[in-house]
Amino acid sequence: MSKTIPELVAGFVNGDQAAFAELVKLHRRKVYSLAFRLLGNHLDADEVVQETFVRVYRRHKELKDVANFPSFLFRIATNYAIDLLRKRKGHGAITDDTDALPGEIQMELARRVRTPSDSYESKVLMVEITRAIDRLPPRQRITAILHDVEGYTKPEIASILNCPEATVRSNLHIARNKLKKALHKRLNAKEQK
Amino acid sequence: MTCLYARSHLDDFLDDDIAAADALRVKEHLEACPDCRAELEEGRLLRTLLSQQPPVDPGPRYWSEVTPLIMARTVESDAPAPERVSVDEIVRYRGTRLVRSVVTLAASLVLLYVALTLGSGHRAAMAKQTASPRPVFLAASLTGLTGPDNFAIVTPQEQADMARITAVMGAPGILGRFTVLPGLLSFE
Repeated sequence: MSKTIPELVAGFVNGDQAAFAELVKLHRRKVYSLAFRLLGNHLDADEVVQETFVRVYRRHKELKDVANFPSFLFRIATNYAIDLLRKRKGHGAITDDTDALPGEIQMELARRVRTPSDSYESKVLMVEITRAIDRLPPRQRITAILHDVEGYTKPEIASILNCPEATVRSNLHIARNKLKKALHKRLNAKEQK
Repeated sequence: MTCLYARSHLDDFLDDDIAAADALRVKEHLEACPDCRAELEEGRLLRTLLSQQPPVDPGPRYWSEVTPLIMARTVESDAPAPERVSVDEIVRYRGTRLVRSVVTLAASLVLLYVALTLGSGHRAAMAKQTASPRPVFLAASLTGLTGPDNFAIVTPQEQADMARITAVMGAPGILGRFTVLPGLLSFE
């Protein structure tokens, strides 16, 4: 009988290495997705994934409540991603040059984008949305991604980012206003159709 | 309710994360204000598009490569410590190191002796040729040379100094260097 996530976390905290391996498998895609959206390229996302799970493993004694494991995990991931973002800012952002990725990863990432049959406009809009998100400051970017893209609630985001819920609401409000401003023409064109 | 107040609550209204009383007031305002209604629709469309962003997954091949790396840096790096080395092994290792050091030192001394011997043999051969125990470049006297004002161009002391400098800088090569060592040491 497969274990639930709280059971796996409880086992992991008590030193069960098999439980840790299972938790990695269950959460690795979400961590990668979040990191990729925050940083915009595969290499940085890969670094975040690896470093996050290493830090979670080494700091498992800090986890007091097994129910808080997702917040604990994503807090480590976002903090590391923000640090990387700040480092890259000083040296010029790494653009998402997908041509430089291994072939299998390019194919897999491309597969996730809407197919041409959906419409060229949809693809262009998705790219513009991604670019608009990339232009947001780190905290607003993370809040918008966690809430509107990944579907976390405001209390969960407050726990992940270790800040008051009012700050989450404020950042979300500002991020959405900026995105609306950046995408105003596109959104109006879509509304009129 | 003013437009400013309504728009400050639109996000919470959209997220259905608003107190019931405030929700009612916002709804009443929206019924009467087309601009705020347009703002709401734009916000709703943006949320829909953001939630439809496709998931990002690098694929099974990436996971098959990176998951073992993660395990190697975590679970597998907690492997048990190696067995303690016995005292006998430590003594044997140190003994071997001592023997190696002695052999190296002996070989260096032998090389030095050989070089000195060859050098002195060379010096003897040169002395026979020039009928002088002094090195060739000291045998040729330059003190006879004088300039237009009848002062010596090179004094004997200057000549000896030049010979020392040349020997140190290695112009005559390693054998030549060793041949002048006795002269340098005696400071003739």
